Formats: sequence, C-alpha cells, structure tokens
Amino acid sequence: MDLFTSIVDMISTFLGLGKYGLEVLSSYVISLAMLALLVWISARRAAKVRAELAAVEARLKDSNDG
Amino acid sequence: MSFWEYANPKKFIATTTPILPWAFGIAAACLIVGLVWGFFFTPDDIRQGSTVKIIYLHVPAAMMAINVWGMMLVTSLIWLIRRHHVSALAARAAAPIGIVMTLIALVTGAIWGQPMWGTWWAWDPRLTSFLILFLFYLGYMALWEAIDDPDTAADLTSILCIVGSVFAFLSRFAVQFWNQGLHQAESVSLWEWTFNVIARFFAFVWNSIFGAEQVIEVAVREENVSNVFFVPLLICMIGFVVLFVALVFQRTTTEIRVRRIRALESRARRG
Repeated sequence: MDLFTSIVDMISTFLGLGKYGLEVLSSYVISLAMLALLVWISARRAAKVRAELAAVEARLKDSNDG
Repeated sequence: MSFWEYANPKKFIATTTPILPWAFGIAAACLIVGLVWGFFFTPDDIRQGSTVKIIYLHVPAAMMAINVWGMMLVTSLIWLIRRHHVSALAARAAAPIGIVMTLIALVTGAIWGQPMWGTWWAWDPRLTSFLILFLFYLGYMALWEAIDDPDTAADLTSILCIVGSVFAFLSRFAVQFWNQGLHQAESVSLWEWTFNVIARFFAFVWNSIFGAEQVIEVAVREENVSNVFFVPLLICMIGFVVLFVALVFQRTTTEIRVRRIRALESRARRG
C-alpha cells in the first residue's frame, strides 16, 4: 500500500495534480477502461456475428445447391 | 426519399456501414483532443483544485446517460406505433451504452464527491434519480434477455422504457424540482452558452461598424463553467455523442444480423 501511495504521489506531482491526484487519476482510469471495454465488446461481438451469419448463409446455399 | 426507408434493415446496414469508421475516428479525435486539453492545459479550480479535471468525463457521461434513454424512448415509441423492427433493435442496442454512461457518471461523481462533500454518496435528488435510472437500464436489459419471442420482448421493453422516462426526466431536472441536496445546479447549458456567443458576436460586429460612440454592452447570462474549462468540455461532449452514434450503429447492425441468423435457422429447420 505504501508503494502504491508513493507511486500515485509521484505521478500526481509529475502531472501537477496536487493532493487530489488519486481521485483524478482513478476517475480517468476507470472511465476510460469502461469505455474501452464497451468498444471492444461491441467490436468483438460484431465480428463474431458477421462470421456466424456468413457461415449460416453458406451452409444454406450449399444445401439448396446440393 | 423518406426517413422511414431506414427502417429497412438492408438499407440501414448499407447506409451506416461506411459511416462507422468515420464516426469512430471523429469520436476518438474529439476525445483525445478534449481530454488531453482538459487534463494537461487547463488550470486548477480555486475551490476544487485539480478535481475539476473530472468534469471532462463526469458531465458528458451524465448527459449521455439521460439522452441515451431519450433516444430509446423515441425508438420504442416508433416500434409501438409503426412496428419497425430496426427501431426496437436500436433501442436494445443503445441500452448497454446507456448503462456504461450512467455507471461512469455515478462512479466519477462519487470519486469527485468524496473530497468536495466529504462523502461518497448522499441521498440527494439528482444522485438518487441517477441510481434509479441505472436500475431501470439493468431492468430493461434483463427484460430483453428474459423473453424468447422478440416482438413480445420489444413490446414489454418499450412499455418499461416509457415508464423509465419519468426517471430520466427527473434525473435531468431534479436539481430544479427540488432545490436541496449536495449536487450543484446544472453545470452546462448549451442554450445559454449559444446565447452568450451570439450576443457577444453581435456586440462585436455592432461596435466594429458603428465605432466607439455607439458601443453596446452585452448583458451576458451567468456562466456556471468558465470558458477555460468549457471549450475542452464541449469537445469531450461532442466526442461522447459521436462515440454513442458510432456504437449504436454498430450494435444495431449486429442485432439485425442476429435476427437474420435466427430467421434463416428457423427456415432451415422448417423446410
């Protein structure tokens, strides 16, 4: 915990955040992580569903042709 | 060309797919510029110190939390009245984005509130109405998952969306309705900001044309947020709006494809 506090203090001093460094940094980290997760999950599901649809359409085309 | 043509799933996908990379690019550019500007190049507030930098995430997220529900209300009403499937799927696609925005607003608000108010949480009208809005988002998403028949799910979630709109509306105006609690009045009024910009521009033009003898003074309205903070905040707000548009287009397209997979599989089983 002391190491964590020292790292946060060091970053806060470097960024000029004063005594509220932990609050500001944690807000940014949490928010940006949530946004990045949302974008990643949406993109991953979009790619997965697109591939699944292509596979189903190909399968049905094959069965109709055959 | 009618707006309702976009209710056709093929037309919707064909129109939104080329827009997506641009929308994600513009959103990323706005967020990077706004957040870097706000974080590194704005001064600390006299009273709040560096915690004022949280505004660049808290305010846009809170704005979107309410506006996403507003968009879901419109698309739900379109579903109930005109029975366009794309509109029901757009509402479904928007809900996870709305819940993330609400969560960001609640978390950053708590982190900001602790050093400023001395508490993480208070049963303040705005905070409480946001918590209820968060629960409505959860309930809305759970209801979609709980019902197998997509049309019944769309009907019931639309009704839930209409009921929840009361709380979205209360979240927006809670501070005005109940003049109590810890949360300050709204930080940003785009109407007032626009009014101030237009009034100042008009005064500048008038004074430039008619000179010093007929100088007009503009009675600008009170600003809750100084322009030093407001410009990067506005860029972040635009970034959040464009990010939402990009995500809702992408997620709606995905929902349309999921529906198509189900339809094809069901047709294959029958025949």
